[in-house]
Amino acid sequence: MTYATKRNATRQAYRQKPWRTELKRISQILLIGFFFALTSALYLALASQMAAATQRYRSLEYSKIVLQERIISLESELAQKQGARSLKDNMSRIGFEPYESKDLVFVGVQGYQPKQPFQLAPLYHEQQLTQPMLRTSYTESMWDLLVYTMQQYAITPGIKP
Amino acid sequence: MNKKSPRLTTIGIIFSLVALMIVFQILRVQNDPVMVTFSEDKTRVSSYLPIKHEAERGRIYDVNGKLLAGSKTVYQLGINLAVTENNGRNPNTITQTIMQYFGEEYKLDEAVIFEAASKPFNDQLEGHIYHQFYALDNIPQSTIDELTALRQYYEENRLRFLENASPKERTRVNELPSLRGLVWTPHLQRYYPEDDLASNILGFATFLNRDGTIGQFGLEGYYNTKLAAEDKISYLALQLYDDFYIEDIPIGQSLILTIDAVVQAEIESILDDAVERYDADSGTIIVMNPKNGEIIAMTTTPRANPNQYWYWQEALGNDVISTREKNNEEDDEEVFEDEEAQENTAIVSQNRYNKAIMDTYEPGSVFKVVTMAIALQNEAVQPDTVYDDTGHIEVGFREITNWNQQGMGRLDMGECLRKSSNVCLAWVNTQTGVEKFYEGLHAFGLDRRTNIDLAGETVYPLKEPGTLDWRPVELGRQAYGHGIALTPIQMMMAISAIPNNGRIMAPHVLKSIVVDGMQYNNTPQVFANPISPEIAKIVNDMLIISPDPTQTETWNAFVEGYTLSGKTGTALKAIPGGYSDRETNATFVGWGPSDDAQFMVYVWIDNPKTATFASMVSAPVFAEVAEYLLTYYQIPPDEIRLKTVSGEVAP
Repeated sequence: MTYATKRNATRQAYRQKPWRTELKRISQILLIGFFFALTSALYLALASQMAAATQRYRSLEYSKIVLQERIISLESELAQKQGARSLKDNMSRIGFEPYESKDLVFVGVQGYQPKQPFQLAPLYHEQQLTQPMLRTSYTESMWDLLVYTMQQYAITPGIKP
Repeated sequence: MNKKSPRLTTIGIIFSLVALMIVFQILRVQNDPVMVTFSEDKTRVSSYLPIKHEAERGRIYDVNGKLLAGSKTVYQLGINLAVTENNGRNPNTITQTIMQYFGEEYKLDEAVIFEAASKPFNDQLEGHIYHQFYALDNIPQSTIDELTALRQYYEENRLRFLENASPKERTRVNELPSLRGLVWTPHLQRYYPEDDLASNILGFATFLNRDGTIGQFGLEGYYNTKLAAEDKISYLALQLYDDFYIEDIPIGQSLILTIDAVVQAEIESILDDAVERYDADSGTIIVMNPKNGEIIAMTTTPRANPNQYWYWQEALGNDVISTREKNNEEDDEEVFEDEEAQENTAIVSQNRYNKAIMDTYEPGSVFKVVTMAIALQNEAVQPDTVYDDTGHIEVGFREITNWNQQGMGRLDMGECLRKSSNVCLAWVNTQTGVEKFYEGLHAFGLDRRTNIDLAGETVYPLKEPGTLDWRPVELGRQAYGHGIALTPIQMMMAISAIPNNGRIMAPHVLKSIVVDGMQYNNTPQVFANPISPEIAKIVNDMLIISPDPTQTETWNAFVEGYTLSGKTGTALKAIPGGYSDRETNATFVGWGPSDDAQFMVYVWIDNPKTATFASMVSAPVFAEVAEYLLTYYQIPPDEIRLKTVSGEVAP
């Protein structure tokens, strides 16, 4: 029996030792268990985070609705307090008197701009387009693109537009 | 030889087993009788909770952006059955609180409330676990604030008890007073911040009927479909992993008006004073820009509060019965003992909602402006044509006289108008002739509605040749505004041709509308072009207001420093079978400055009793309104303004 053969036989015997085989099996089972536990933990962590985020999102969305209603209500309350009659009463209470035509002194003021009309939202005509708005890349030819690109290089050498 | 590794075989077997287990589990879950039942329940109840978002009705702003109609938060009160008595729901406290706050107002039965408060939780109820038994609605914020404070007080009391009590005593915590389970849910309700300001223009929305709110009268009625928006429903997922989306509160289209709330408030104040001063039945004032037809202010008296519209509905016998009214069916008599309620009832039953557009009457001498304009346009007379007023004239075999049965002597056409001679104008109409006169009335648009954008505009059929009740004498009577019934807005619109170079602009209240975040301006429209600019200027000059009572009927409408134009009109009130011998309609229409009218004012005082003639009743009211408008719009006196226009002074 050569030394090499003897060594292989020893290794074989070592590998086939019962305690080692059992240890190997236990390790495999533990490994599977570990991965299972890891996956479960990860799943639970993600699920709970998602649930918490959903709950928070739901709560915020609902708060948004409540706040919207509150803002609407407060705007009405403000309108009531700033109403024409309220303001007049308040002015009278603190000693102001309405001016009369005889009290007025008219002075010419160059460049005086009268009060602008109240605007609640952008005017429609401001948004109107004379023609469909298209990106230049949709309308230019290959030749245009080449010329344009070359021009860009010429203007800023080395910089790709 | 390539031998298979035992490790790979083992792993392969494990994965195969896992895969098989998954498939097995899927099949088991799908066929498990318990899971089948659960799935059916889930489908029946739904895993989503619907949340209804009631739309905000479109807002209404005045020309300067002051909010005239908006919304406010009110609350619906209910009992959350999911909060059981073991969780602290105390039916006794809930019942006592509800009875204390709402029992008398809503005529609540204590036993019914207690039964509701004691109702056990039942997850089979429609609406799932969030089912609430709603008892009361439209509770104001102030009451909810009080309830919140009370609930907080009870909760603190529970905490104190739990801190001090022994473990055995703690089990009795639910016997303490508690408002747990009493819930309030907010929703929006139409609200008019300035109560009755411009109520005749705004109309009202029947907000107590939450599922069927509609606009009635005024702008609310006319633009109801634009102001209203559809409610939206969000589905809140009961499972945290299900997707969901909560909608924003939908909003209707908002309106920006030509109305100026400051001017509106002022003319309402002036009119209220005038009606009281002259002991009149009611009054109407309209302020308009004759150049574009924009209504700056419009009011009638009496007015009522659209935040309490149900008084009007009740008076109208409206079929729409609100939630509140349902709760108060037995309380109606008591409600109407309220002084304000009686006043509101009177508005509808006597005068209707907005006399400026809904009530027709014989305008009297202000109509002479139209008569003269038609005659001059048709060259039936010239401005310098002289007529000898003897105090009576026969038209259609009937005698027509002046108000005092006296003649006024030789008058040119301007004097006929300024001294308001019935006889002269009847003669003028005979010169115009039947055909031209009625063609003129059609050209002035007096045979039809003005189509102002307010709900409920009425029109009285024009009495003209071909209609059953027309007689030849009508040619003479109609010349001075009798035998013809018009709404104030019709009369004002027709006369607006004079200060606007012969052109009538369609009267309107809407300046802009906001749709999907874009503002669309309302372009003024020409309604008619009945006379030439030259004729308009001639008539305008004839009507210049002078402070000399011997020269004009309008002397009481004079405003120092300004040249204004105007015309009085006093007409006996029509009563069944003829005319009253003492009740009058006193009208004044005027505008200024005469050469460049910035505003036009129509005043109608119905049945003034302390004085009866328009020159003494409505002319001073016009002067008061005109002086205010001249100041408000910072229109300089003629002395300054004309120099500015001619370039003598810098603008």
